[in-house]
Amino acid sequence: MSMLRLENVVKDYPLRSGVFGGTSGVLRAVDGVSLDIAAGSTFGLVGESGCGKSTLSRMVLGLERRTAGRIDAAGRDPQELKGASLKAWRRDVQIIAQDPAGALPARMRVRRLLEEPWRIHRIEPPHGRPIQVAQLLSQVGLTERHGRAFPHQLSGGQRQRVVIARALALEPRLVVCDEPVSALDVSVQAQVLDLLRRLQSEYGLTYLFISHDLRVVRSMAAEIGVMFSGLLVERGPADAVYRRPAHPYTRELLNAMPSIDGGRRLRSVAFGPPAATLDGDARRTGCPYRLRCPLAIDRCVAERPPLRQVAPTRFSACHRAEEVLSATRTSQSIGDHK
Amino acid sequence: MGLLLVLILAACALFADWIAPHNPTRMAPALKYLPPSWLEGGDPRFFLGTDQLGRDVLSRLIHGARTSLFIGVTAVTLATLFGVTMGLVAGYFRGWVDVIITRLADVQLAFPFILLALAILSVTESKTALTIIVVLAVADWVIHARVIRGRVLVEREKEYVQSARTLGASHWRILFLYVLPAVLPTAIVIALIELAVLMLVESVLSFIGLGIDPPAISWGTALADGRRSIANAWWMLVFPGMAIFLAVLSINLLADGLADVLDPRLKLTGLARRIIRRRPVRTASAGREAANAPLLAVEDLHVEFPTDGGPAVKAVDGVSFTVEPGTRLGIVGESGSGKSVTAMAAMGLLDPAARITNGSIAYKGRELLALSETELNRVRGSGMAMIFQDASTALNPVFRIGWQIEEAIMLHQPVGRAEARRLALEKLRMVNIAEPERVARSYPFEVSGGMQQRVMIAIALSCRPDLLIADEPTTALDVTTQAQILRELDALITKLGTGIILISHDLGLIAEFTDYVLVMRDGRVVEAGPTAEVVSAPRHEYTQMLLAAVRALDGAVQEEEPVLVHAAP
Repeated sequence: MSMLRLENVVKDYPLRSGVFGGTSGVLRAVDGVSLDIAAGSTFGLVGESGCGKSTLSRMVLGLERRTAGRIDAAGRDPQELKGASLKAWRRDVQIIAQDPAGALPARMRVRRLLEEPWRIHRIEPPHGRPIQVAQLLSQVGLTERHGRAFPHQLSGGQRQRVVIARALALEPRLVVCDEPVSALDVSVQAQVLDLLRRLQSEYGLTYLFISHDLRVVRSMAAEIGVMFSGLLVERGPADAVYRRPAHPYTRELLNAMPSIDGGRRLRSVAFGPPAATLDGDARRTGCPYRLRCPLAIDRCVAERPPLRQVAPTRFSACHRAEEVLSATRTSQSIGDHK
Repeated sequence: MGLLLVLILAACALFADWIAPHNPTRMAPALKYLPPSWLEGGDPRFFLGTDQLGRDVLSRLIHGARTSLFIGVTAVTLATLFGVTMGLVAGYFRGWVDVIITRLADVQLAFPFILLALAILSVTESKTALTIIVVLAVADWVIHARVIRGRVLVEREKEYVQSARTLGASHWRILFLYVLPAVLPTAIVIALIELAVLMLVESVLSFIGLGIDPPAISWGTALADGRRSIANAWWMLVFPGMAIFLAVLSINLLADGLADVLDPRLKLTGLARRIIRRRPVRTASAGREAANAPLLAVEDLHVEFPTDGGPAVKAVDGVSFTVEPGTRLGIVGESGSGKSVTAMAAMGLLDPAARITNGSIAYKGRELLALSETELNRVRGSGMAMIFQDASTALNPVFRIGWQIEEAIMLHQPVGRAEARRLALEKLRMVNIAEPERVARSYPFEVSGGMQQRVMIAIALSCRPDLLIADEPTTALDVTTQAQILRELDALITKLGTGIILISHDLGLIAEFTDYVLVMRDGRVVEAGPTAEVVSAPRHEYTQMLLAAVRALDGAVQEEEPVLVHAAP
């Protein structure tokens, strides 16, 4: 059974220009994304800032209206709901956001802000609020002592645990994790990711896991999607994508990751100058990655590559996906013969 | 101080009947124009003298405090309640509500206040306290609404508002339970400042005859009375004037103090700042030959932060290291390990609350802790430079990028504006910015985060420093941008022979880009050595733990070479 299904979801933002604020066109933040997450599993979404992954999550959460396409989250379309039914649906779909961006209200004590979900929904938890709060705290590895603190008195890792605890209070089914560990030290990241995994198996949660760090996403998700410029450019099983990317952008992401055992690879990797961004019509036609792509050919300007199956379980939106795939297998460079 | 004066003022207002030595309205024509008691001809019963009707000036002042304060406080309360509500609604809902409220506010701000006051007061028959309050409140709500609207616009974009919405909270709940507490300190401080303003305005109104009708007493009416008698009874004018002055001053002082106290996050530093000043300790091994001294030598550095009541926190506890020209030193550790404090100490940029209790920081053999701020400034920039994590806050938002780089160049090199401009473009090209002319003309917010960080690096390198300290320079950036920037930085310092200290929590990054590494924990160096050795054979268990954390993410795929590196196109 699928917990989240997106079909050709599109989001346009009007671009304003001039003193009179007239609209002079649209910016397509999300450009026809489709995906399907089975109940109890994790789908990882990777991409750099501005690729549309957060806009996508806001549409899933019903915080933003989409321009086109269909969304089915926890059995309902958030856009069709309002009033009491929207409020009821919100119990099923929660977000675990990044804390340093201010996910926690600064002036509420932890205990109070953990009670907040029940107060909003006028629920009396089965064992009474103090006991339930204590339970929530212990589930995420915190104690009563932390409950009395204000968020700013806790460490980054502890605050992130509070964010997680609050999202769990309403016993959601679908949880959007938006960069949940990006601001944490690497050592603390591991602990928080462990916690998220444990909670998933305990409560059968479904995660849409969003991050710019491919390593983190891979460690969490069975299946991952790579977004670039509003498009899903690659989709496939996490390990397979990590080992043998089928899109040159995914490969760039992998190459850019620092590694302890990589033998100072990054120092020797050739990176071109930061590519100019495509505007206007150039953005709407052809492959959006072509300016940065070492494999770009004439066809990439003329024709936008669709997301297509390039191997069993593997999907890539690249005209030369097969070459990318086989090149990585044989460890041969293919950048030369273009 | 402010609080004390305000308390005295409030006491006067509340207990006027008991404190005042005389009935403020009792007239005694025989005793008119008596000077203050300590002057010749003064009557000991009337400490500050009497007015034209023989009424006691001190008693009138004390009773006047009640009226003035009552009018001021009530007017401000009304204005705050209305203004804050309008500001919240306008800022949160935006759209047409916002347009109507802000336009209304704009129109009212443009409307002359005196005319407004005249208009309102002329339609009422008598000028009671109530009418004055209404005039003041109507005039004042705009200020509150505008300030609060601005704050709300910032708050509504924060993540916690979005989280509250996904929890299913209604707009009104978010507005009053989440947004209001966040803007409340601002509202209170504005209210206090406006209280002072309104008390002044009230006295001005009274002075020009638009004030409260007698026999009610306010400081303004006392002032107006005094003006008529200024030739023969100066005390009637001076003392009410002083009362107004002191009241306004003390309220403003209180507002200032409150602004610090109300923000829970500022509490510790605010208090500590006042008690402790930085006290550099001179233990330098000075006089060493600059020629063979290392670029930077830090010896047995101790830095403490005082806490409220408790023992000082030892942020850096005996750290020693050296940086040679052209080498790359990495400092790795978790947040709170003291790695950033160490760097800040080396740059002389420590928080004023911090104390260096022991140690030496020598740059080319010169003891930095013994330098004055001016001397240190000369070393910073020309000799040492720093790149911070958040370029968006480190760049000045109101100046064009090119101008900021030119400033940095002109500060350290004797060149004119035109030459500086040429050098600035060269620097931008050096950090691989494709269109330096366009970027130089842009404001910081018009370019991406990666671009801002490149600009920061360009500024840091524009003075050709010998030592560059980079504190988490790429943590806020995407991995692709991070790799690109670090690579550029690496190439640049190789070319220029700069020494660099790279600070990060990510051991992977440190492993890629440094020659030597210090592993820090709780202010101490737990392991140090050539990076390759530390990474391949860590001795300390903490280093092993850090390595395990990174490897857990990298995963088991490491045996198999994950991706190839293809040649540049």
